Amino acid sequence: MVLSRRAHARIFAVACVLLTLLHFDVWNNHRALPLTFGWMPVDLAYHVGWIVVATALVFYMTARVWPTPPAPEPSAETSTRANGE
Amino acid sequence: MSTNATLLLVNLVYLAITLGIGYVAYRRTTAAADDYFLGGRTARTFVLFMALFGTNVTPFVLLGIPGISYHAGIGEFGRNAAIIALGIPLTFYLIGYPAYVAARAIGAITPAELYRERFGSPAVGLVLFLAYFVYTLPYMVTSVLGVGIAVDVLTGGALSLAVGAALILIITIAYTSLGGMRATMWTNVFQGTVFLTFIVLLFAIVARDHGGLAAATAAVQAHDPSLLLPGDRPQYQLGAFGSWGLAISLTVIGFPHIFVRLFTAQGETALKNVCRLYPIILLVLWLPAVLLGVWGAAEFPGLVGKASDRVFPLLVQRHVGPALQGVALAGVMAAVMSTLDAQALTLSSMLSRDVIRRYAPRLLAGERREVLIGRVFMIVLALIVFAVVLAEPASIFDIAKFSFSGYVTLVPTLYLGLRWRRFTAAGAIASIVGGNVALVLAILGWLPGLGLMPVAHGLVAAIALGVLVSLWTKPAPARCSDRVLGPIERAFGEGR
Repeated sequence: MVLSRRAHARIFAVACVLLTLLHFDVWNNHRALPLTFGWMPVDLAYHVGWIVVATALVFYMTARVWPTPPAPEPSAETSTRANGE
Repeated sequence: MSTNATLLLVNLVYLAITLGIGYVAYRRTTAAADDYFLGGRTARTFVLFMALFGTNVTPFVLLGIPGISYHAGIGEFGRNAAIIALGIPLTFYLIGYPAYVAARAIGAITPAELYRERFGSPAVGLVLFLAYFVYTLPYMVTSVLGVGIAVDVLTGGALSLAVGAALILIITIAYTSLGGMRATMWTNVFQGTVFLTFIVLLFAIVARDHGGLAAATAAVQAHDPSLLLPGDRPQYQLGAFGSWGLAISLTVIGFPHIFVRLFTAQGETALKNVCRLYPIILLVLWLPAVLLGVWGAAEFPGLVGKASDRVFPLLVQRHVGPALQGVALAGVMAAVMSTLDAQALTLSSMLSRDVIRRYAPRLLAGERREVLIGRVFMIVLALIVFAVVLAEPASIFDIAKFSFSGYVTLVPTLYLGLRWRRFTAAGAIASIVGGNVALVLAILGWLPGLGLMPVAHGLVAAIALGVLVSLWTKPAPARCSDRVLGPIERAFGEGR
């Protein structure tokens, strides 16, 4: 199924809202352990993971949501050159 | 060779390279305003990214964030870095891209010029310039103050804060006023590489000296385990955490020196690539910045209040030799210069094009004179910044917080002005003025706090006033709106 840019924009908007809500990780406010990889406290590891997901979302935005501008119409000069005149 | 002599030598080499790049850019820059102020709009991905990133990163990150993390712990990473990894690319898409399209279509050189043309109202351009000036000045102070502190600490007081601040201002204004935008962008590539490489290197060295990352965390746990979690600190309570997230994600597009750099992109591909790179590089920069501050708390206990801004240079002094200390100082200088140059250039371009050209056109006889006035203004600006730095009014983080909040109140105008046809000049002015009045009243404690930071009050007032006053007043003539909004709507496939 091929989605329109508008549909991708809606998916992106919903994903942004969800990710923003997940930014408020109050449940991590009072625990440091367990340490991820033996050194990264919980809240830090959580937000590093959050950034990884945000990066994926930004890639999605630039690939599917960001419009591709219409190709400029060839000017008379360009058409003439293309015709080898 | 003594430590100070090595520091001086390394930094002289750094400054010589910077001036050299500035000189080459100067040779390639013509006196045409478009070329001087926007580098001919030819920036591709790498240069554009480094120019934006270099401009975005200041001592706020290199000194201010370690300084605040020293007291507040690892929660600063989530509070600052995470949300901007999404917020900056998002605002570049929602506001930066339409601005780029419109500026290119009408040949606008400054943000104030773009919005003045959009509304057909010189008053909007003037109000925007004033707001940008009021918030950029303290932001410039944070940069120069950062260099002063680094110079003072790393030279053991041999070179004072004042000497460091004066030196950075003189060099930056020299190459910026000569080479314009092209000089600032090219030097930013070099400067961004210097500070990014150094902070990663320092992070690795300090971790190694602790016996590894796990040992560094263990040292913090032994010193003060509360630094490893957000805890009950006021800035991590829901309202304050959310409103700061709002401020720091929206503020970057509000920086005039960032906004105008988006105009320099050669094409959409460069803008998209910048958005893709931003979150990745933010992670590389901010993780060390926060952890160095937290590790520094265990290593240098007892720094009170704004004294913690010194933790980064203190770590440098303890963990690396004189040559790398020199590189550290060059790194801080690089972060400062790459922002300071863009700020000075943007304000000067707005002053000459949006204020003097409108209100005292006799002073501007041709583009050459316009560039000259821009250069003189930069010198005056540098003198004002220097005077404020000497007063050292507050910590870097606190000064930056004030500026960031102010820029956020401009964002409703920046967005609605490009995406809502019904938005009017009166609505824009009401939004900017009312948003700032609300911000100041909230800072003074004259508005109910509601657990939010003052920036939230300013933003809500700016949105509400912008929308209400626009609905109540007459929109700009269609020829103005069409000229600016037409190309944007076509780019978004919303043709009318």
